[in-house]
Amino acid sequence: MISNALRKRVRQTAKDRCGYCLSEQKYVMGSLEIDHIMPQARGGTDAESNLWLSCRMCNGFKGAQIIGHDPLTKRQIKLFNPRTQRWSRHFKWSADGTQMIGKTATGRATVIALQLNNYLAVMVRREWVGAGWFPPKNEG
Amino acid sequence: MSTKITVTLPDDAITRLENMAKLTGQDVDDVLATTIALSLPDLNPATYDASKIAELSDDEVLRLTKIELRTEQDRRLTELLDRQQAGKLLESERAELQTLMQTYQVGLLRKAQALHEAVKRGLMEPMGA
Repeated sequence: MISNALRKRVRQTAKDRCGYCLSEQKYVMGSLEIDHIMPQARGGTDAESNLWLSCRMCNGFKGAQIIGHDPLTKRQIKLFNPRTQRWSRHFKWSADGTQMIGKTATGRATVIALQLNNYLAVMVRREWVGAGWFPPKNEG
Repeated sequence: MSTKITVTLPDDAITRLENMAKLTGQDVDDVLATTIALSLPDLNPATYDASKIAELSDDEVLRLTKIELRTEQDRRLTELLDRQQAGKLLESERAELQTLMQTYQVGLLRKAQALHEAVKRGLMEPMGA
C-alpha cells in the first residue's frame, strides 16, 4: 500500500513528469501513474526506491517488462530506470522534437519495449511542439 | 474487402519498404498494408468527437484544453494498469484496458490539439514561455 505522503514525495522527486517520455502532469489527462520500476509481478515492492512516475501510455506499454532487446547490438538488456539513470545519457529527441531516439543499448531497447514512438504519442508531441513547450529543456 | 489508394512517400520510406519486401519475400503493397495494420490503433469513431479543431469556437477550444476522463473511467484505468503491472490482469479485463487506453490516447491527442490551437489563436500563452 502506497501512502499519500509517499505518493507526494515520488511526484516531487520525479518533478511531476513521466520518467520515460517526459510528459508533464499539467499537459496529460488524469494523474500520472505511480510506476513500479521493478514490477510487482517480478517481485518489485512498494519501497520508495522502486517507485517513479509514468504516463499512462508508458505505464501501459511497459506492463511487467524489465528486459528489452537492443536492435543494434542484438543484446537483451535491462530497461531504463528513471530513478537511477540519467535520461539524457540514454535518449535524445529527433530534430523535430517528436520522436525519442535511444543513444545506448538501454535507450534503444526501452524505446522499443515501451513503444515510445507509437503513432499517437508522436502526434501528441507534434502538437506540444507547436504549442511551444516540447521537447522539454531540462531533460535530466 | 479492400480499397485501392495511391500514396506519395519520401525516398527513405520507399527504401525501407523495398528493403523489408526483399527480406520477407513480400510485395511492397503487402508490407505497407501489414505495417499500417500493426502500427495504427483500431479506433472506434463512435466513441470520440473528430470535429476539426480549427473549426471550433474559442470557447470550445478552451473547453477542450481542459478535458479529462470521467471520474469512473480514470479510476478504473489506474486500477487496470496497476493490475497489469502486478501480473494480475484477467483475460476478461484486457479488452477493457485496451478500450480505456484508447479513450485516454484519443482524449490526450484532442487536448494537445486544443492546446496548440489555443496558443495559435492567442487564447493562451505559448506553453513553457
